[in-house]
Amino acid sequence: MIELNQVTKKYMGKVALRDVDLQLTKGKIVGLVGPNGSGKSTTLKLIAGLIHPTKGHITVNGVEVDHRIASQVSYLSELDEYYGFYNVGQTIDFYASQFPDFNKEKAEEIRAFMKLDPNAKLKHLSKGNRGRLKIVLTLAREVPVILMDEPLSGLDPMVRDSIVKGLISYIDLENQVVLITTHEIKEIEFILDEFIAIKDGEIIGHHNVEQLRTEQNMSIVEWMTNSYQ
Amino acid sequence: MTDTFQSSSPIYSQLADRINRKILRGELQPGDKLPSVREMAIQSNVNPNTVQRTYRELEGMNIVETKRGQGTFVTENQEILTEMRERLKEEEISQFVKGMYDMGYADEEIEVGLNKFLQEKKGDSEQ
Amino acid sequence: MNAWLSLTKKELRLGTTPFIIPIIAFFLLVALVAYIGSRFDFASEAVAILSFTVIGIQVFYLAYYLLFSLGAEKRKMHLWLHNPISGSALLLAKVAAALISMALTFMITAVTLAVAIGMAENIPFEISWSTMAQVGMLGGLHLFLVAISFAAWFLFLWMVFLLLNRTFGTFISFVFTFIFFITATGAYGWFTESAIYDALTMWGAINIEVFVTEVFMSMDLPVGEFTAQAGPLTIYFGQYFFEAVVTLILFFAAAWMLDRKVEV
Repeated sequence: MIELNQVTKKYMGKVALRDVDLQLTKGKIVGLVGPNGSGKSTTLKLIAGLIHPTKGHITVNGVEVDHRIASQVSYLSELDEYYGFYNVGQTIDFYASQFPDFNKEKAEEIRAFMKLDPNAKLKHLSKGNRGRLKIVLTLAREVPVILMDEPLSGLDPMVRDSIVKGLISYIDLENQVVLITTHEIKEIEFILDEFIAIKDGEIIGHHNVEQLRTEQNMSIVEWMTNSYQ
Repeated sequence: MTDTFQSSSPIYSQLADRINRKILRGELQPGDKLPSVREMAIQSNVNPNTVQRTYRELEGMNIVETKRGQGTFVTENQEILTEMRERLKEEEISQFVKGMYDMGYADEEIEVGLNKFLQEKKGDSEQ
Repeated sequence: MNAWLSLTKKELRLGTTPFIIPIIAFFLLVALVAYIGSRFDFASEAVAILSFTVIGIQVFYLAYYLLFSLGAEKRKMHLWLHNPISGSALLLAKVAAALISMALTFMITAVTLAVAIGMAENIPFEISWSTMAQVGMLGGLHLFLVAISFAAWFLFLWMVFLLLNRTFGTFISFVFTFIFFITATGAYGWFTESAIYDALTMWGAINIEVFVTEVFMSMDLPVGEFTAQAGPLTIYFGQYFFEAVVTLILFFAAAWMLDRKVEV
């Protein structure tokens, strides 16, 4: 479903990602883990077609990506920017108008689950509620690929919990693949099927979480402590 | 987050364990309906795929059965439940004994110690 | 199509500020000029001159509006670009919003001009309403055409700026884009002087002498002097066609850069 083939990304000669090969199939929640600056966000933006590889190829469902891959990809940015003149309801409506696969009833359900006031102005939304709104907008799409860049970072435990619960509740695992970047693995460890560990722009591990526990008696955190010394 | 899991064994089997214990304690009665995969996932904050696997394992051991279109239910077959009761007991005892061996206790010491412990406990509850 | 219309609606919302500010500024200026003019019994005339100037400045309106709109989007590139529709449709939504705003602004200023002329007593020439409407239509049309051409240039330059901005800071990118702009327009200016340009554009002659004569007569101005200065009064359809082609090339080059090169 998602395929990266020998992908290298350089910024001004500085390597952000080096010769990455990656294949992801549907029906999975995959964590992309690693310290800040290791290339997690870069990977997500590349798959979303929002930046372009210096070398190599990226396809989603066989299509070479550019920003128009948004028809098959729902991307949640780590940035907190929205159109300030809209309120929550209008933002949802705007998204619904832009993506044919946007399911408005589902959006309404998630919004209610997240306890977001549809009339709240975006300008006045707390950081936690903006984080929740992002989840609504990202998960309401019936789309094969969901990319989430640090959906939990900087949020308090209550919000994080509601976001994790929202993820479990509203992902359509039969038809979707979800790729989440995070540097706080503990929170989402139990909802991951697989994780990909990335370090200095290179993939240093790609494991099935349950298999790792069965075969090596290790959780992701333990594996990472061993691998990132 | 209400639940955490140990890192040494797979989550699906830890979750199966929890369900088994609930059945033993009587919190889940024979014939009771288990939560749907999605509900269970939300309750325990785990991946729905994991819950799916847990249910599959339990089904494999005939502890639960899935009725088409209705959901997953605890078996009403007493034989299987008794068997499970026995098996879990044995597992727990073997764990305990292994731990005692690791610390260098001999069989008689364990037996005496266990008897004494149980006697005292009985005495405590009788007073 | 519906997605695009909703996007255009969003662009109009995003462009509320650059739409309102010039209109408020215009009315403030009208009030100021009318007040000062009234002391010299010259209020309507002053307002007419002001309106006329402001209408002229509107050749830059689309570029100005797009600068604001794209500037606001610069911080939200991941939001703006995360859209299944093509770069050209994304840009066209902004251009459409800009055109709507310009049309409204133009109408406001044009009506003010017409009213001011109607009230003016010191105009040194007689001009019939029908002629004025004709001149207005033709002038307005050209105003929009030039503004659209400028807008295409601006979009193209903005994309160049965004590409440079990947590597350099905002200021240096701006300077480089500016140098690029000067060079490009210089080259283009040189090109328009060349024989190839003439060969490319001097076809489909339209004689406007009759029209100009009529206008000048109605204004009671000496046609002869003007024609003697300006030479034969002919415009070429080829010129319009050429400008249109250049505009389209610039626009699609900008859209291509947005699709393939620009990064968030």
